[in-house]
Amino acid sequence: MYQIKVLISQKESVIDPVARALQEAVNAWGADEFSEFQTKKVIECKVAADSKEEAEQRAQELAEKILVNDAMEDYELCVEEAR
Amino acid sequence: MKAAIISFSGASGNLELAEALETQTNFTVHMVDDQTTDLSEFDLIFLPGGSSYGDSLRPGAIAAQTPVAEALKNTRENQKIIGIGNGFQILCEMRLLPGGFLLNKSLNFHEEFVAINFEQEELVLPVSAKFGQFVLFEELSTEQIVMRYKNGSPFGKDATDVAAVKNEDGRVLGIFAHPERACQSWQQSPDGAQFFHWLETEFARKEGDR
Repeated sequence: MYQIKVLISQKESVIDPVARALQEAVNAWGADEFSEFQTKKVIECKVAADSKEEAEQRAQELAEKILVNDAMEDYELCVEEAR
Repeated sequence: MKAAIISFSGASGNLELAEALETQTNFTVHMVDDQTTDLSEFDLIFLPGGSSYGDSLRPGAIAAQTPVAEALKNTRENQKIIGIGNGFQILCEMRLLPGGFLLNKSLNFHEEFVAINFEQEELVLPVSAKFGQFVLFEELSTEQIVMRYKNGSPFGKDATDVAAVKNEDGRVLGIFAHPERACQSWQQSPDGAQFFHWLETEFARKEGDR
């Protein structure tokens, strides 16, 4: 059994309204040393697979078919043996 | 003409759309659910508004994975599809319409009656959404742009002012405002009636009809 974590973020070319609002809040606070805010969605699940390679392959299919809108979003995958 | 309204789980707009179509058009209206796999008997297929599946993951994302999605992707040349509000968002998620929707600049739900340019007329129609900033990833032809917000997107200045679009072959229409909430004499604006008249006499018209 493998544990999958998918981190989904807006593509750089697409605005991230929450990140922008956080930057404005931080600027208003006077703490302009903070920059490049980015928000990500985390989806976790388990997958039954015979190998880590198979788990990664299936995780990528899950991300691309169900979880991610590839016109607006990028994603990162983390796959580990489930504890 | 036979019209289907797809009832997606959690979506609130199917009944008011049925009421609008029954009072404003001559379509015979049928309610179908999102588990339906056969839409072949219908001339027109409507995806109504109202936060299907609670806008989970992204607005329209879960609805775009239901069994009815395959039927929508395999309609015939003489069938037309119309998405209103969340219905427009579902069609974008299914890649049947261009573009996508982002959270409003205010990060909050927003609704108001706005001026919209449509067919050389100005209509006042309600908009109502939390994810209303419409963004485009490709150039559209002039024929594809059906409505524009007169004063820019009411959801955020980074969004396009496009309020309704068609796909390349013109069979699929998405409109983000809600004409079904503005067509009866007792509603705040009656201008939606003009949209339904255009829908019936222009958009839904089949080749060879007059």
